[in-house]
Amino acid sequence: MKIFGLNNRKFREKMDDAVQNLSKVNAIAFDGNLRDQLKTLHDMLGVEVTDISTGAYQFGLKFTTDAGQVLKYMSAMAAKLTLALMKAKDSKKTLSEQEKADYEKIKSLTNVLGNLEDRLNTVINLSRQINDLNFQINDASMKLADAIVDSQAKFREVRSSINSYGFLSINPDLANLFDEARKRSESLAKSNTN
Amino acid sequence: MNKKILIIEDESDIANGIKDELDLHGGFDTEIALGGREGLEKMAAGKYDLVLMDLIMPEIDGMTVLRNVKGDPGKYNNSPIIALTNVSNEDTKQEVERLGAVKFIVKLSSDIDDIVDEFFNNVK
Repeated sequence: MKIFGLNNRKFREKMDDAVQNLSKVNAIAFDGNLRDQLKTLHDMLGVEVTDISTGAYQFGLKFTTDAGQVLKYMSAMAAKLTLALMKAKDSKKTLSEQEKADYEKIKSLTNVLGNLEDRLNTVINLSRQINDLNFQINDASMKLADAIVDSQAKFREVRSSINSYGFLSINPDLANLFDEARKRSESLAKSNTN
Repeated sequence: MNKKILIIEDESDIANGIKDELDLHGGFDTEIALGGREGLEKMAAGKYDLVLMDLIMPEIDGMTVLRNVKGDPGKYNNSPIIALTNVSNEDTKQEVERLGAVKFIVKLSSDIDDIVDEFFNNVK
């Protein structure tokens, strides 16, 4: 990095020493790696974690077809078929062989419908369980969003409180200038008291 | 003394059809519950000698009724339940019997009064 036309190895070594000296002043605020981690985490709160919260809130199987109504209708139709069949059977004291065969064929259809209703009912019950879980996920995602807001506030508070020193940890040239200025002001303060 | 029978069936035409058949047979006092919720309420309110119950019902279906009764048989007065249904899936039949139904009958496979007679004859 070229600052004030300075870019030789010897000067760089002096810069790094200056930074290390500043680390002795504040090993926390001047720790570049620590500051990088803070920034990365803070950025994550605003991006990845917020995305997860939003995704969780929207999560869920959108069971748009009113399967319950379909089942109810199918069940009513199957009931009508059963009743009609029973009525037809009871309308005669004795059924012919052909009539018995036809009765059995139509009776088999009531079973086919019954099994279909059973499978549809299972799907509906499972979707109800998913909907119950969705409500729980939505509730938990709201609490996650609250936690993100609190965390971001805390991060902002802490990072701003160490910010006055922080930029120096990644900028050795300015760190050196700051150090020189600090030494001058300390020396001045000493000579004034004497 | 007449046997008390409860019919749990959400289709009122079917429920009344079964009731009419049993009333014609004689010897039974029959009541109807139009759905699983009402069925559970009636069973909790009093003992029945037999419950004839459909499986596919909205909101509270037959399986849910069986689970509730199995979970607290005392609350539902230990009323025996026959599943009377159009369903013939084998896995459903096994589950229904596992949940404590005394019998699994496919509708139209036998006359209702024959089913009921056979049950009470075996109970004796």
